[in-house]
Amino acid sequence: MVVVAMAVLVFTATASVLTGLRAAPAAFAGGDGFVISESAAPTIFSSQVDMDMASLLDSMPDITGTSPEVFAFSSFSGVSFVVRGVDLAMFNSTGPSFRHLTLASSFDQRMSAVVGVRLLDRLGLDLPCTVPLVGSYSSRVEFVEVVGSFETGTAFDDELLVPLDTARYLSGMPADRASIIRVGTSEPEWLADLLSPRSARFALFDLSTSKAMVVPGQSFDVSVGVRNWGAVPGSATVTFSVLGSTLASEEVELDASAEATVTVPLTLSQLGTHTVQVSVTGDFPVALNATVTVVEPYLSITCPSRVILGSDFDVLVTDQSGSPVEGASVMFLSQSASTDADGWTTLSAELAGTADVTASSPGYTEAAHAVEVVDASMYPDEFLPYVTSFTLSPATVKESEDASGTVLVENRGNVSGTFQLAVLVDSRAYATIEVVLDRLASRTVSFTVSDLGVGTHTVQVASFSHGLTVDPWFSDNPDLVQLVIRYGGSNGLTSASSVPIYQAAKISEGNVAVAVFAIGAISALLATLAVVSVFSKEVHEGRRRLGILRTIGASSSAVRWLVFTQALGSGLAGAAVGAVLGVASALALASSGVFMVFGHRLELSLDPTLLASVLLGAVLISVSSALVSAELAVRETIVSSIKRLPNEGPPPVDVDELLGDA
Amino acid sequence: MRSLPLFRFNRRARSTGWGIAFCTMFLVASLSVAGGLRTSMDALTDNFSPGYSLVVLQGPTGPDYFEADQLGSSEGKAAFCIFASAHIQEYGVNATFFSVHDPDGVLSETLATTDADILAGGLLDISGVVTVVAEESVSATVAGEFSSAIFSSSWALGSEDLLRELTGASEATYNFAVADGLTTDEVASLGDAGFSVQAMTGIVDFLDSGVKEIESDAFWVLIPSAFVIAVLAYGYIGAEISDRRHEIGIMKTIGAGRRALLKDILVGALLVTSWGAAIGLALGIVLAYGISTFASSMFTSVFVVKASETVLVLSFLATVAAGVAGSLVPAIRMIFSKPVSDLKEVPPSA
Repeated sequence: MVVVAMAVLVFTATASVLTGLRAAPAAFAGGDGFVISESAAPTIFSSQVDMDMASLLDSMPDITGTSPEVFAFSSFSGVSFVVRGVDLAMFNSTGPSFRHLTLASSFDQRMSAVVGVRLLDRLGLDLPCTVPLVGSYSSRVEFVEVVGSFETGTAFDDELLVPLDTARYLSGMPADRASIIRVGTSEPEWLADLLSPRSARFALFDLSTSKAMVVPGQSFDVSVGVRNWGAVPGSATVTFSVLGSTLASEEVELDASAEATVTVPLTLSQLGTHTVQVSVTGDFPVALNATVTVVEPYLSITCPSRVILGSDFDVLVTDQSGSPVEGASVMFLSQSASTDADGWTTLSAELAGTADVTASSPGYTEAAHAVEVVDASMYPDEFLPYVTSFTLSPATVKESEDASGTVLVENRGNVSGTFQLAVLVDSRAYATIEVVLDRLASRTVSFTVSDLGVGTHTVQVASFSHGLTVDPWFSDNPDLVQLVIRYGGSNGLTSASSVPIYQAAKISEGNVAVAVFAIGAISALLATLAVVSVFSKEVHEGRRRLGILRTIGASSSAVRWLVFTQALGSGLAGAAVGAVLGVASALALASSGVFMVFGHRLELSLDPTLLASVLLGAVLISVSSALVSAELAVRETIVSSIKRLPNEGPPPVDVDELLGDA
Repeated sequence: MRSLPLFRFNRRARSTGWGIAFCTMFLVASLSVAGGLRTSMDALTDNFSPGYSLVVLQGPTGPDYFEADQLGSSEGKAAFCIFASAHIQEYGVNATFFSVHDPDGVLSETLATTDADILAGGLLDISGVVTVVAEESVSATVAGEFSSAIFSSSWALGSEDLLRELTGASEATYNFAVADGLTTDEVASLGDAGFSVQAMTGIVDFLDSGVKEIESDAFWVLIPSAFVIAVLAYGYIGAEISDRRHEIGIMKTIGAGRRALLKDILVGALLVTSWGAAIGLALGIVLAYGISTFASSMFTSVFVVKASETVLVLSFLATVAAGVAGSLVPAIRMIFSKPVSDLKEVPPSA
């Protein structure tokens, strides 16, 4: 029983420690939760993920917390350890939380650090203390003031936490990147599939129309970007529809991580404002909307609102889309003219007073524009600029689209001059336009408002103001779509235990599991070998008794059962003692810090599965050993056993005689 | 007295030998994998230059000041620096200020400034005249930027005089040094003098310590292997003694001493374990290369397994030692048993 107990002890301790080794990669993720790392990176140390992803993820409903982190390595006083760059405020938002965080002085985001209690113990520091850190991959140096210690009860306790920028400097990581993002989510499968789908997945982006305003039957182009963010090539149907009615559809075939632009011509016949919806269906449907207004064709006149008596002035006639209209008939008082190919014509201000300039052309609604003809001598000899009108079009734009502002500026004085026209957006200076005006002249000034954030804004020029609404491209969960467009396919979500930590051996959950199983199996086999060896010795020594049993009629199965039950009894008793002692030994070894794996103490978690496996292994060892022993016993022949019975048959040597000689 | 052939190379010896061979094979393969991991790590480490070494005299609250000649023979291989964590009043931020004294041109870059001028790193957005507060308050002028591959661009470079004024450091003392080309003896000598010397490329030490941990962990396989070998030898010798107890009784009776009997028994154990160990070494080498081939294809990278001479010798000696140790229990029990009891046992051939 003692040998069985010792054999199972060795097996149990070995299996427990090996199971702890299996959890070693998870140490870099704090033991729980999920990690986003760069899909193409073989290890989390070489992984680089965009910091923006963390903020995008934070806005999602199923994400409970994110912590971008940067890995670096350093050593101090002969102890090598992991340096983890973190944002302390975000660090606690997911995964293990601080059981305690004791700060001896305030934490400076540039130069401070906090140390895990186990590393503090290994380094033997008195806090606060300034510690030199070295670069990870090239010669660098940084000094941090370790201002406090923390305890999480996880592998983090073997690490030094420093500000993100400090870890970036030590590891050579670019400023807007992190090694990993630890993420907490209630929907891990959804997030994993979102970041690195195993099938082809399509997303739409950059929807645009060639014309915002058209006339019935006029063709316009609608363009949209399509990206396959899945891991394999695939095809999708992009559908263009208005009010649920499909106007066009296009089949797109794309390789993994490839993108293309789809452009289709459309025409609309009904007057009014229409929403053109572009969509792809499938597991991850995306729909984008763009607005196109259908109007009756009309003319627009652009000319000064005030002109000096006796001077000529130019008139520009355009259609509803701003295109010049050739051959339009322009009337002003008694004058009539026709526009040239560029839509221009010239008129004379012959009579003081206000009159309309009118323009007409077949197929277009007529336009009119009031012009005041003034006598210059009636106006002051100074420069008097006035903003007389301001229009902003369109009133609603998509994110990254522009809005155009048009301002009419007049000089109500007899002296020409220059002034600065200020454009304000949300009461802040947005642009300044230099406007040069002749005496009593007016000028139309245009500007573009762009790069405004999603929301409602106010654009102000002089005393005029207009609202401008900026809609997101993606009306349905824009952050999600942006996340997919930017990061889908290039980053992957893994459980903490699957994190690849060592490039050459690619130690991750699967590989370690194989190694652990192999070594555990060998360990079990060795234990069985030892127990069988001892049992066979016992059987050998008891062969005479077995021989008698066979002689008096015991069958092979009876002998087999007899030996099996005895062997199993002592085997199970020994296994129980050995399993308990083995687990206790493994725990003692692990907590002593004897086993360290890449800067982290090997953690043993005695979960029910492990205990059940160990007990099952111990029972199997006992049963298999007992079976082998019983078989050995049965093989003992009756004759050989009987021959060796003591006090039966002639003794080979006269013992008393021998003793007497001695 | 001539040794008697107590133990024969029978079926039991062969099966015991194979069991021991299996254990030795496991031992050789485990240690070879650990040795291979070391080789892999060394190859990986070769990709990184150890570069400079950072030398500090660590005190209870941080690096202490030391004089250049305290570095002994390493003095000519080091650039001497002073650093201080200071507060820049005008900007309300803290920053690290440092000076460099490099008389022997150890550093590949020249870092110097004069008087009260300071050079700011690219990430330290300061300009004009600033008031820097550490142990003392000093007024300095930001005269430009410095660029360095070694020192952080969030630091500020000052003159040695400015740093001494700022920190109150004594003349000719420094609180860290950057050394190049230190030999193992020089590192040991600095360690003896109380200095902490660390490679400024941390991955080298990190990988090295990681492999040392795995190597030391690998030696734990010695325990189960040695245990099983000992039990096998115990079982074998126990059974052999049981079979030949009568003969041993006769030998005792005709004058064989305990030492001679013990020697005979242990020689038997030695022969069987040596035979098993020899086969185990051969099998272990085969298994090691099998693992190498299998792991290389499975992990899609070259997985080196190295069955070195040291591993082979160590495995052989561990096997033999465990076998002899396991045999001691029945052997000692045997030599102390009474010859009368031994002679009562009937020989198997009777």
